Amino acid sequence: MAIEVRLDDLLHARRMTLTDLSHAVDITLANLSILKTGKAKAIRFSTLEAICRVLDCQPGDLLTITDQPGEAE
Amino acid sequence: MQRDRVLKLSNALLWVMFWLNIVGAAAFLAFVLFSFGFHQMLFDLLARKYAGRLDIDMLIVAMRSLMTIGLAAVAVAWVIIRQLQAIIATVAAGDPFVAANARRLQAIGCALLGWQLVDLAMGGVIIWTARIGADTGGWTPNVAGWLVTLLVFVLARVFAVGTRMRDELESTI
Repeated sequence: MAIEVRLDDLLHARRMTLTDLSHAVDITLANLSILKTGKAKAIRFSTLEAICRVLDCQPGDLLTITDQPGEAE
Repeated sequence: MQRDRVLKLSNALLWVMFWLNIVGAAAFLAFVLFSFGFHQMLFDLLARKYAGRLDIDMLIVAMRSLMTIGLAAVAVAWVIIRQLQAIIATVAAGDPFVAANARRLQAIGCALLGWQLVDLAMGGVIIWTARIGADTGGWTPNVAGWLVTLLVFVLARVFAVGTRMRDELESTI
């Protein structure tokens, strides 16, 4: 199983760009891009909280488990 | 900067050792070849010194063994010097905490282990040479060397785990 980051969908629904989010949560565009493309190995609670506050969502809206095998498997 | 000076000095010393090591290899090899090519001359020189007190042929075999062990020591030193130079290059480049350096430390640990085995072999030949009656400088086991070897293996493991932790942290957003 793998964790899928649904940042793209959330940004699209809120008509926001990754750059807007980067300014709002004070995380570099490069790091948000890593998160968006699913290349991140871990996410800090502080990052999760900041993104959820700006996008007005729950952590479960951002992260979902898929049936596709992840890197650890 | 003080740290840069230490690094430059270490690098310069390693290059000196690198060339001394090559000179050492040439000297050991030259002696082995000389002992075969000019066996009679060497025999006469040693016979004059020891005046029938010991078996000169056996002494020559012991000397050849020591020089061959010396060649093995040169090979081990080569590994240590080259790996250290590579580690220093990564420090100079600004990022020494990489998995490659953990592998290099591991290689240095293996080389040091080889060095200790070479030392034991040398000790054996020196003790044998002393028993047949030749003058030797004596030999004592290098306990500190074994401890340093162990230390390098432990440090290599610590380094490997540390670099892996850093890699994981770098991918944490």
